[in-house]
Amino acid sequence: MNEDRWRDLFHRAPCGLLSMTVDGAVNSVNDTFLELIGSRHEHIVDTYFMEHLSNGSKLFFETRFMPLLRLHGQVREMALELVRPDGSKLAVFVNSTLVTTDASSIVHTAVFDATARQDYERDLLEARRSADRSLARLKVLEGAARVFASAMTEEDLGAGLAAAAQSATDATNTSVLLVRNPGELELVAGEHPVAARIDLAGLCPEAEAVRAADAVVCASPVAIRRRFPAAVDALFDAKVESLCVVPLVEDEAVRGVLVCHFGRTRTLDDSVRKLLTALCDQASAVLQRIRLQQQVRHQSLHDVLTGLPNRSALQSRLEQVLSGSVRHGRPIAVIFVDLDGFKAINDSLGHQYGDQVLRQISDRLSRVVRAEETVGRLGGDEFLIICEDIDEDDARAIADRAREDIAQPLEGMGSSFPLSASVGICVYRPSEGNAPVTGDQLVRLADNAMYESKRAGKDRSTVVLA
Amino acid sequence: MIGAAAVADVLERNNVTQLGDERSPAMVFAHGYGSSQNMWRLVAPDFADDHRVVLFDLVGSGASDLSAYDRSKYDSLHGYAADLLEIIRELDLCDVVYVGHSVSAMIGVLAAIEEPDRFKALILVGASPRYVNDGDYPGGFEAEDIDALLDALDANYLSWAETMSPVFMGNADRPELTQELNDSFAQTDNAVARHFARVTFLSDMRHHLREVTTPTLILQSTDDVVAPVAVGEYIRAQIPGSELAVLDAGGHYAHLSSPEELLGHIRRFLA
Repeated sequence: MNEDRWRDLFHRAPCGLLSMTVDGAVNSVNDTFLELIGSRHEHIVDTYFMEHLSNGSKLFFETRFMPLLRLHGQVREMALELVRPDGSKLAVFVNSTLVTTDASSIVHTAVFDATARQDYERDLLEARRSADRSLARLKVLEGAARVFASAMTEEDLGAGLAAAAQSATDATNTSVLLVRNPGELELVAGEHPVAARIDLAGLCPEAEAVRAADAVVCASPVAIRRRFPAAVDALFDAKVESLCVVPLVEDEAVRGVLVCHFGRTRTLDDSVRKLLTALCDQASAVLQRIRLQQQVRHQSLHDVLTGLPNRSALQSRLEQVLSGSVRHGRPIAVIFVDLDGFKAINDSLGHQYGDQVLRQISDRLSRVVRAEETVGRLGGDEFLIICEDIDEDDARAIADRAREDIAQPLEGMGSSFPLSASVGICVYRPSEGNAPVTGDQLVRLADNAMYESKRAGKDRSTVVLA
Repeated sequence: MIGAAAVADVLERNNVTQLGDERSPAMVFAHGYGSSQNMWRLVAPDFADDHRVVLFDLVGSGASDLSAYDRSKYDSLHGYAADLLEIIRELDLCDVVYVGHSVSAMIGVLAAIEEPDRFKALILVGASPRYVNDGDYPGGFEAEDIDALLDALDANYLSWAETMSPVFMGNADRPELTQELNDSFAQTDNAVARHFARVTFLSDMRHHLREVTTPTLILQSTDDVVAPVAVGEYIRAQIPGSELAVLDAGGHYAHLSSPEELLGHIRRFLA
């Protein structure tokens, strides 16, 4: 081919062609490109290719296109946007190859008009993004629903909610805090970089979300400083730069909050905020279910009158303590307490007074025992104390303290109806090679010992060894 | 004994490589968005004669351990700064001269605020604490421009995968293998690149600049569209006692296009 035909092929090629330095300065360009961009030779040559791109494309060209080209020697079908001298924009596809010779490197580039495909591509992109978003949303909701369904405790539920929120937002930390005691939020799951307990009277985002029963969003450090100056130091120390708090609302009452902390300025788009709200709504319903279940469970294991563990709860506790005792070879004691003189109160003053007395005695017994001991009501005026890892002397000491406390004057009763207690103590020492026993047997032995105390004149303790 | 395993983990995770004598003063180079430590090839070796040169890839970039990409951790530059400090601690580096390009300039700023005793100097190349214009602040871009970039990343993701995976795989004779990895690579890399783009271009680091106490050199190019000179001037005004040098050319990648000029500025600042 002669020179003219080469020239013709170059200038009239069915795509824009140009060459540039590795820094992106254009040194030759064909007519097709000039027609595409609607400019003249002298306005393109010796300029940077990037100057003819829209701002978004400039960023893309500089931070993705050129690095890839340098790394791999070529890029194919990159979508860019040219800006014509009149300001109108042109969507193009670009192929580039980096040609290196001993002396220098040059970038050969072909540019194709993508106008026809632009709308189609944009629709495709939007459709794919929307599908991606829906899929991600569905995954999060599904995953959360699965965890929520099997959640037995508030901690399970909180952990599920915190994890779902984290995958929905990529937040640095997510946490769930619940109102368990009035006036206070308590951390139940996730990581809260500032506090495990939050005073609802405080001036922090969590308290604000509870007061307003609405989401609190601070998208930047400036927003945090403006809205929560009292909380800003702690948050900044924890590298929190933006945050979002969504309340868990049930029957118009706020039961807790979901907190997302971010390490950068972040605007949450609408779909993410809606997703967080949907998660919190689900979680609120589950929280109600868990609390009802807990209430039912509590009621089935506690005496309605005194709030102490009931017979059934005492039985399972005793089995637990007994098997621990056998395993570790440590002695235990079962203390059976029966009130002396209670029947007279009930008969003379009525059941209402009797119930009041039982409540007072329950409170006193609860104060007598240590944390590792369990006191419960068997029924009537019979109480049981289960003691782990205890010898005979200490068991007797507890029984004596219980008797002393019971004998104190009752509130609002005067001294016309003195109360005392007959106590039976059964001590079991597994290490002495004695035969295996059941919890029921221990209770029965303690009961017998209590009758021994009654027969011997009441207001005393009798010890038996199992 | 946590030491040995942790060192291996951190160094592997970030694909840490070293040049020069371990007893020489330490110099750490960090690459910007969309690239790898390879970007420093025309600058870093020059310092190996009189420095212990440490190079690494940000997690999610280059030959780093992609499985270490935890979206919550890397949702802010604090996550990357924590990695940088881990590398510095594991190699027991002191008086570090830190050279960070683009987004890594701000990662270095965060690390130097956190542990100023480890750093002797910060060299910020093509840095921007905020890409989006905000009132008087001239970031250089409108929010729509950043959206357009994120669109472009989405629109262009298939072509990257095709461009890049054969290079990684080197398995042109077994195309089925390449295709399989192409798919997984496209997904992983695309998700990471898009997330990292959001973190890079939507972060606002301006309020941190005032807290820097390390001597700082800001290097900006006159023709850098990503981080214009006005942004360099803003950083100089914010970091107490910092110095700004403007390169005559070089664009956003002065370390590739004007390595000599860049070297000169760094050497002069360290002298």
